[in-house]
Amino acid sequence: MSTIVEVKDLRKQYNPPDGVTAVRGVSFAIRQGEIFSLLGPNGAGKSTTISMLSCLLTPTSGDAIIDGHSIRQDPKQVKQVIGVVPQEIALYDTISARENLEFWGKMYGLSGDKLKERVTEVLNIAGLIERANEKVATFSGGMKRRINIAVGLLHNPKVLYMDEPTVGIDPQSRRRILDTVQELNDQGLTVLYTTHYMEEAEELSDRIGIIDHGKLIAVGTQDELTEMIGQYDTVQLDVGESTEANGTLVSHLAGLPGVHQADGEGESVMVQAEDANQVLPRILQTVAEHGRSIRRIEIKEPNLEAVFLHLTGRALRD
Amino acid sequence: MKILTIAWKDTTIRFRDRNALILMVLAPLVLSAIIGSAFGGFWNGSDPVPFDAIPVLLINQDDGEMGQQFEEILTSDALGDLLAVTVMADETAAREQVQRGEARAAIVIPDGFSEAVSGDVAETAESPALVQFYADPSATVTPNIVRGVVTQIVNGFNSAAISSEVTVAQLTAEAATLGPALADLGTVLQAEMQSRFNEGQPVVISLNDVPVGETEETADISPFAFFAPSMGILFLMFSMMDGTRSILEEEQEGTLSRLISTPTSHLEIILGKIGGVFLTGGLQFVVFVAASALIFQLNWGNSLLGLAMLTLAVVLSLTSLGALIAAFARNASQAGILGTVVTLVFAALGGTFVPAQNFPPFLQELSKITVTRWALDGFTDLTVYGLGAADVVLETAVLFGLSLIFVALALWQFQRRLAK
Repeated sequence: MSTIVEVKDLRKQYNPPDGVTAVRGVSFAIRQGEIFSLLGPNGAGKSTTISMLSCLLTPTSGDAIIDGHSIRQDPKQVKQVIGVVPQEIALYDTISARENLEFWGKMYGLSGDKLKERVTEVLNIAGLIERANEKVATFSGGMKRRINIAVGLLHNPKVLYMDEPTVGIDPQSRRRILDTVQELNDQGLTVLYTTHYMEEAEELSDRIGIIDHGKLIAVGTQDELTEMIGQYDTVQLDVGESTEANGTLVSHLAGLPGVHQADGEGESVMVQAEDANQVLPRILQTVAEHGRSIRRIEIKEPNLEAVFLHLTGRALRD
Repeated sequence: MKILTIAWKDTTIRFRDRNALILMVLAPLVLSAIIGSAFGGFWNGSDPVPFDAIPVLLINQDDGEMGQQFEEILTSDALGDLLAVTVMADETAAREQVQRGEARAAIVIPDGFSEAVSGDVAETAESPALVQFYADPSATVTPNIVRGVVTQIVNGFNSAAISSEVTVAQLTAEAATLGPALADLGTVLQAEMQSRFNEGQPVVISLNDVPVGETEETADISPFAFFAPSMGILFLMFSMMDGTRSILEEEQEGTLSRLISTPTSHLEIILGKIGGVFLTGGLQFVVFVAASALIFQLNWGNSLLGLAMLTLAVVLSLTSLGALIAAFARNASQAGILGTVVTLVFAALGGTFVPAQNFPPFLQELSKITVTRWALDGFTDLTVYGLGAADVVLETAVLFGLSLIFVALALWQFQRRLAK
């Protein structure tokens, strides 16, 4: 598969030289026809990255080539080939869904029969053709999200950027949106998807980039990423007191049979083991012997969250 | 094309908003009705409404002393606030100027006027000497005022011809008592003249009223003639401030970012947004003019061209002022507060509630920094004075000039703002 998006050392600092640096030299490539997810917690730099790739923000340095066009040199051409689904519902509430789509279609240069045809098609994709003439204000959050996506599809883009498109909606609507993304991808559309939901990234993505503090810390398929931490389970304990004061607890846990690694941060202790169920009794006993009480315990099989934990020492939801 | 698409979308959204419609059309109509009714006495009472001097042309063909005295009276300081008299020689040229609306009236003192007044001719003359009076038929009020003054002077000369005791000073003082006359001035003077006829005074000088062009129906001054435009402008300003603020609301709601993500330039987006506010304002004012004409029978003057020019300039200047405020405001909320403050200050200073001509001199000068003052001056010329398009060229030009400055600054700042 050929590369359709190539991101080269992209950086963004707001209000330089003293402002916050939101993206610190991100590089990755997206192949034509794949779903590439940027996974990271809130504030990791996902939206800033997608805003630069949408030509909404000018990079402080670096560049990206979208279907052969530079976001720095040729933003108008880039905008012709990308569809953008922003995180917020960017629609006009007081006009109908059809009027919204017709307006946005015209902004993408569509007109006449072609415009009407595409509006009907994307209304069908959104499953809202029956309610096309109703004001968007009367729609549920999920329906608005679907129209929000439909706008991004109007001009048949080559790449669709979706910035956390399932935030704040009910499970049924989320399911429908994820199915829609999959269907669009099956029809050949390349998708750049940002999320902080590990499950969505796991379900949808061909490849995933894990981003934190403005840096891309890992890129690969789900299997490639989980292999980074080996086939270990992770036992995460909250011992209610700073582990810095209990260094011996961490070192004792690390020395237990069947335990691969133990790390402490704040009140948490993370233990990687070949079989969590097998070592759990010994872990509990060791903690008790150190006079600590366990407030919370969680066992994670090898997954993206464990990868994130492994790479950053923090849970994805933190 | 995209500019029009954005502008039309905004206009559609605005006119579907019931609350906005109330603010745009109903509120100014209701308020102008209430305030107009409440201040009706102001317009009909003893306090005269201050006028700018009325442009009048004088052609003195008389070589004698009386013709000179007639000229001195008309050009005297006592009438200086009321009449702006230009003395010229060519009667035809004067008529043409009146016809073009460059002057409200032309007065021709005929050759032999002095002889008619002072000589024996007066008592034996079968027909009186004719002072020609050419009036602009497109103006509704001002020719009546000028006619009233000239009639009074002519009347004085008739008396002088009888008594030989009336001096120029007396005549001047008498004419000056007219002050800035109201619409019924002509009627009052004609009644006075009639009373002199009834007293049996012979008439040696007569006023020959010659309209230059087709005469149009005249209208009485109504308090609505001032308050309807002033309320219309006030609420237009509110509406324009609200409209231009929508640029910042779109910024907050994310639709502006989405617009930028389409293959549409920043300039197209900004001009489309400003264009939408302009279109909305234009429609709002047209609806307001039509509604006030239908409901209050308000006469918006006789110059459709003047009304169109001025409306265009007023809407453009208020739109661009709103855009300027929105461009420099931090967010929609701040723009809302700034817009309201500017609207109210401009309204008070510009003469929305009390005509600016009633202000102290320094405040009158200060009020000229406001769009409202120029807009109101223009509309007062059309609706109160019944003047034509040529008389609102200055106001229109000033408003267009201000618009250009405001728009240029707003575009510069918005471009800076969008280039993140």
